[in-house]
Amino acid sequence: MRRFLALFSLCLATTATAVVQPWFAAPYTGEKVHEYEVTLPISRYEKQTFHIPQDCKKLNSALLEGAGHWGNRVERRLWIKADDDCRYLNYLNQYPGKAKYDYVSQYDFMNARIQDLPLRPGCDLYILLHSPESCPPPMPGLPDFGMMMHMGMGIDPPPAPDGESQDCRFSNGVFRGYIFPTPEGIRCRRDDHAPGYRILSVDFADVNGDGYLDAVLRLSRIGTRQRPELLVLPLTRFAPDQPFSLPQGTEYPRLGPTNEGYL
Amino acid sequence: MNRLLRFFIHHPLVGLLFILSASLLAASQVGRLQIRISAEEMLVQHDEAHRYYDEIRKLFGDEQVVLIYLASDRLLAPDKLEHLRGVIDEIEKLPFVQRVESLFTVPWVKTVDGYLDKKPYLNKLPKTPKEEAEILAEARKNPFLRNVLVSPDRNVMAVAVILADKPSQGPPLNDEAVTARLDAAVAKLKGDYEPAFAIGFPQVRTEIVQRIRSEQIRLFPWAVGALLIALFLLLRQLIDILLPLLSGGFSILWTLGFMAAADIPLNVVTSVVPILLIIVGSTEDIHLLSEFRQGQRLGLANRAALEHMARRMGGIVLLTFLTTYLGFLSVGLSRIEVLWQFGLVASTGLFFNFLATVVLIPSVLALAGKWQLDGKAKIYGEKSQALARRYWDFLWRHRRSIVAFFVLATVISAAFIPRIHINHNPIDSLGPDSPVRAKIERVNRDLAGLESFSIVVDSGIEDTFLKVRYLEELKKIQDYIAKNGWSRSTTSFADYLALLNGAFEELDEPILPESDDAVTELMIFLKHDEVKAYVTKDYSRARILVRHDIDDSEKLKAVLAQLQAYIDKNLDPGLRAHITGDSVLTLRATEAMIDGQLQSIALLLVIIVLIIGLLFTELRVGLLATLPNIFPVIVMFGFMGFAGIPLNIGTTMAAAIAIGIAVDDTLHFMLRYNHELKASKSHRLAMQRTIYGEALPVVSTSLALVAGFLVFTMASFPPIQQFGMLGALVLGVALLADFVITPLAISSLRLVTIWDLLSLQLRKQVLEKSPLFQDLHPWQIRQFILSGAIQEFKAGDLVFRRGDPSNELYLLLTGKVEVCLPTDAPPECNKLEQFQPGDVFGDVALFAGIPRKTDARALEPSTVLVLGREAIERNLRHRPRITARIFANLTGDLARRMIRMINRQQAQGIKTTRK
Repeated sequence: MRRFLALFSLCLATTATAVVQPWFAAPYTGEKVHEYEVTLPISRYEKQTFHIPQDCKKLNSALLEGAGHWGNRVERRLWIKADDDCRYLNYLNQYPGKAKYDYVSQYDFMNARIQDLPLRPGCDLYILLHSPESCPPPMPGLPDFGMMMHMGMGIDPPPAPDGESQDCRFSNGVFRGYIFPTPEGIRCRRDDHAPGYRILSVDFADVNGDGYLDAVLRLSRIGTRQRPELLVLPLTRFAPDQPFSLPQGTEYPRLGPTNEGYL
Repeated sequence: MNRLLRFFIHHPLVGLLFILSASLLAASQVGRLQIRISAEEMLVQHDEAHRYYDEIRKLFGDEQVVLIYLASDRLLAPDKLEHLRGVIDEIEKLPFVQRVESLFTVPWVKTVDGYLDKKPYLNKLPKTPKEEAEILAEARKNPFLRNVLVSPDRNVMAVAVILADKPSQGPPLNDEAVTARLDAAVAKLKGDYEPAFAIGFPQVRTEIVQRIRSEQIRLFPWAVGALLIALFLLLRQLIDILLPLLSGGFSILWTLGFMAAADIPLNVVTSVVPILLIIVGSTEDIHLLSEFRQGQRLGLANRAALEHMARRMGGIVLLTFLTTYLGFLSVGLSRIEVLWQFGLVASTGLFFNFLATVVLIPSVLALAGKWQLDGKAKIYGEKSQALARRYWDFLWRHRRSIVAFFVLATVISAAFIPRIHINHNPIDSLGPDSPVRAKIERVNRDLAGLESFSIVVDSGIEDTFLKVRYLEELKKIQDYIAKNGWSRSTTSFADYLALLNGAFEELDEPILPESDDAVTELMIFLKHDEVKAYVTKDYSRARILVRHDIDDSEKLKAVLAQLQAYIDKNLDPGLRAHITGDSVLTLRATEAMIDGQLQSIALLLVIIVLIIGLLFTELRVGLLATLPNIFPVIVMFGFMGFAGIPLNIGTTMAAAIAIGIAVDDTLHFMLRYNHELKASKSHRLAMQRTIYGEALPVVSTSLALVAGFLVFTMASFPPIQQFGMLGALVLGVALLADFVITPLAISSLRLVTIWDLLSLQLRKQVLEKSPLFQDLHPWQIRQFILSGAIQEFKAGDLVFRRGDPSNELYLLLTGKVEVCLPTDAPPECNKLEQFQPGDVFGDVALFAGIPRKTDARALEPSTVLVLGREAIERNLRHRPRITARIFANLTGDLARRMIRMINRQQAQGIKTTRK
């Protein structure tokens, strides 16, 4: 039976890593697409149309030639978006066909339990992805997989549930609400008007070439005063019942413009 | 002028041929005449604000929209939506439709599974009333739909039909075709939505065009009828009744031909011209005909009566035409195109009418002047002469009370003038019973209104409006407008970003992004074409579109002023904001209309003063002549303030036109008075004869004009009704003023006309050689002379006799006069002096203040200028320089005569001594 499961896992891994075709948000329309066209300025007077992802190399060459600074603020942001999409594609495909073990693709990330994610108090997704070194070490006595996304000021934690809380998980890719770390574990209060995260897509690839298939989540923050910025969260695990952790030995792609405001 | 009239008297067939040729030429053009209504033509032309708005329209685009209004308590019931979709599909196929925007097409910007979804609100038809309510509630959250396509109570929605600049196929469609085809399509929704109708400017224009057409047919017979009745009652001659109608008819044909050739359309204002020509054009005809008939009554033969008419009325008719022409033309001073067109068309039409009159009347009368109905008008007779005398005596006796009454009436009227309000809203021209207006009011009540203006905010720096700080400036202005309740829909680029941001952040309401980076992120999902109506491609200029239902010009003016003040005070110093748009231009047109009105009246009055001043060689006479014409205008404005009649596109024309017409009667009155005064040498008699002589033509023309103007009150356009009412009021009051103010004003004046001056040209040589006028300019001589009177004497007539009171000074113009001391055996006398043309006599006794000591007798037919003591004293007061020179010359002349007499006596003494 174990052999059968191992074989099944291998089959899945082979299937999952064969061709990774991520979804993109098309410029202008925002539609969910596998490919799109974008016309960008390559000099003061010239424009060129790129088919993403087919023209990613061409786009990269143009960027290396310095074309990315042409155009207005919006066009320059479009250069970044197209580059981000190409970089994301490269990130997924840097070790094609390498994964031998798959302990991730069967997991329902769109309804992921919060405590399955590699998050802990004082280190929410944004901090984790932007400056993981500033994340504090796990607090003693608290589960490693706790997280503090937003502390509701003046909001009491909900009473302890009888069994496993259904509130402490994503629902159809969305979690909006407040998470409270308690000695007994985390408790959550869902609130549709509170800030939160939306999982936009889940792609599977071996992003560090260690032979274990990784899940790559793209998330965006939602709710009042949130910047519609894309976050990429790679996750891996080495056994089916393990919690997820960040794959080691790979750069976490930081997409979008930097905070230095190079636009 | 006289020559022209005489030419056609002697060549009537040439005149008729001319009329026929001109009419054929005009008729060949008339087919091209268009009825065209354009909002553009109601605005100020060549205006800086207009140019700016054109530039803004080019920058942000400009679309012509017709709204389909749909009301129901279940707007989105599936069966209704099925029908509606079918009708929209049908409308989209119409060649003049560019696109249709509705809940079927407007994107519902939201995210689905994290990705942007821009599918329309009615991408899927709702299945339950709850879903219907949800969709409407979501649509209401969209600032671009709220109160624009969905009403606050969610019982009304609109479908916006965006018209193409040019139809996709076939010939260009006019407003009537657009209206008819949209109405036919919308009629299919009648069972589902109640009411359901299409409304927009094509519908407004269609109604105006149809009403212009029907009113031309309806009002024209009334105008002709009013004129016919007036002519029949007052003139009683078949030919006299027909001729004004004929000249009016020809001039209308020529005017329509001119309009077609000059591509000037019939619109609300120019459509008045044909009827106006029938009414106004008849006045000159009446005066000419009246003079002709008077000639006949004097026993003159047909040709001689025509000559009499040409001599007596030629110049006067030219002058009165000129003043009326200027009155009409002065309306064209306006910078508003329709008024400019009206000024041009009406003045040209009047010129054509004048031409038709001076050609047709002598030509036809030369051929058929003998034809008469009963031969005489009944008004002239002994009784009416006595009536005129009694009337003038009454007037003179109560002159102080009358003046006081007029002053009081003027003051009371002037007190109401500040209460006049202004309204230049084109929709108002439709009137309260208009179905189109009712539809517009419904749209204004349930949605945000059809009117709009824009606030254009400009930094001059690229990407300005990709920064939150500046987007907030836009919102600040929008919030201020909303707070003051001026508009139920203001939209801007900030709203679009808020909408997009709200969708991405999965919020219930649109909310502006909080950082510039967030704006840039959002801009990835926004094609500039989607927001080009709100922001320029370089994001340096943004527009706030403000829809409103303010239909009162004064309120709109106050709102715009307050808004501009707020902007000036509160807007970021790096930004500049201008308010522009149709509403602003309409408001500017209102201001231009008032300026134009005042300019027209002022210019017209100045011209009238100058013309009459020149005509009577004295500015004071010109000023006095304006009195009976200013008074009706003050009364008219006072009445407007009292009755709440607004200053609008119709009423703005009334004063200038009416003055132009009314001054004709004043001129006729003054010229006749001058003529009668010369003939009778008595102010009282001259005034009585003037009142008697002018009563028929002035009253008849005025009554015909009042009746004609009253025909306009039957029009369905309120501005035209008001134009008719005010025109009739001005003419009625002017008639009263002409018979009350004019006689009193001019009775104390010795009117000297330019014709009097010109008639003295023949005597120029005599006058300039006269010792009395040495060192005086010809015009000074003329002014002095024309304050006297000319008397003719036959050979042997006594100019004065011994013992007569000495009240006059005499200047011999032609012939010979002898002055002698009477002897005991008349006619023998001792000759003292014989005078030649240019010599002065009768001065010694005059200045000595004693009765005449001598006789003065004409030795041959002689003409003498008589200057009375009163006239000399008046000259002394009013023309002291001229009179001082005259006295100096007179002293010199007297001295020379004394020396001559002494020399003669010395010579006689020497003879006697020798004897």
